[in-house]
Amino acid sequence: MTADRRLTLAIAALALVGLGIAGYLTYVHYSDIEPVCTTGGCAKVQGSQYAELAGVPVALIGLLGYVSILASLAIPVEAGRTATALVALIGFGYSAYLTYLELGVIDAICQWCVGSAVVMTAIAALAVLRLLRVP
Amino acid sequence: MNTGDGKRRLWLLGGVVVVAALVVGVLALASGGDDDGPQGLGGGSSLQGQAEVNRTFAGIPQQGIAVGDPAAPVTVVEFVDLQCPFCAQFARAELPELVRRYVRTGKARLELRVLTFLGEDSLRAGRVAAAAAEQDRGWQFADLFFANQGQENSGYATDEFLREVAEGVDGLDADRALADAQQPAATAQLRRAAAAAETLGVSSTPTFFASRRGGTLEQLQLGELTADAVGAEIDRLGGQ
Repeated sequence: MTADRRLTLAIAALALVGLGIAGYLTYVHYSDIEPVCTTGGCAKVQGSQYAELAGVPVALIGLLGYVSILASLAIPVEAGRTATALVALIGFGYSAYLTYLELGVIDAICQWCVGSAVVMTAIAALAVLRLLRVP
Repeated sequence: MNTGDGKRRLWLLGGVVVVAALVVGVLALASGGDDDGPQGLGGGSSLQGQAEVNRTFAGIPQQGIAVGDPAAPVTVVEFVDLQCPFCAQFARAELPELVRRYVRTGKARLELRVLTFLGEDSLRAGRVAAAAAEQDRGWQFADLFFANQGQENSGYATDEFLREVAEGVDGLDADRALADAQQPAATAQLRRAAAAAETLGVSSTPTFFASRRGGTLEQLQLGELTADAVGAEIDRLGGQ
């Protein structure tokens, strides 16, 4: 198995994990129920003004992001690797911003959001590596 | 990877990073990224927290100063002054969760008693809040005012400011609210709140009272001003 193939599979696996997290939070949002939470702040974060962007749940935007990453992995040329890196870096940047909001503004931590941020950070690192490597 | 190809890929990565940074910047601004706390509107800028306030109360029945199911087993009464910073902090950080967990679920109804002891801005804002309550939108108006609270007694609660807040509340007729704010009914509502505060010995805001349905109001001794703390009291009273 080539290094490029290993990177692609690793990103796909991580994106599936992220998809599960974002899917769960999207379900929670539309079901109007409280997420399972060990950090105590999930409902507060989910109920804050930052849980939606222009009326769209951030969880749904994240879900679409992970779907986009998985779709871009199926494009076997440089444009696909570029798209993966672009979506992942946007996801990484916005996740960092949301984590800052949790710590500095909302004053609550949501384990699912942190989990998604960690997954997106790993995907971004691998996607950049994959873009720079010759397949 | 040869040198030329390597440089090209680095340039490509640089472009991707720049585009990603721009997109993240736009997203952060769109989500209220410059919102660093309660503040006056000033300069014609848009309202803070408008979507969240309307979402918090959407679809929940209101009758005057009360929000929630009239048959709810517990009633919580909150005394506020619209200029009170701790009231604003509670409204911004805790109220959405409290409404979501206890009002939407029919466990409690909330009553808002608006006091106006902090100054002229409190009185001007309180009058409009009372008028908004006549349209069953008092909670949204107060909550949105808190989200945009300005410097105490700086004269920021002008008709223009109050109209902008009123216009930010879904279903509230802002023109009517500002006109009704000067009517005897609004004055009477504020006087009732002040009389209740005096009877109950309220000396600061926010102060919370609660009772089981049909019972006597008791002041909530909250260790911390959080939805969890108020919710625990609701659970206690509701479980009696």
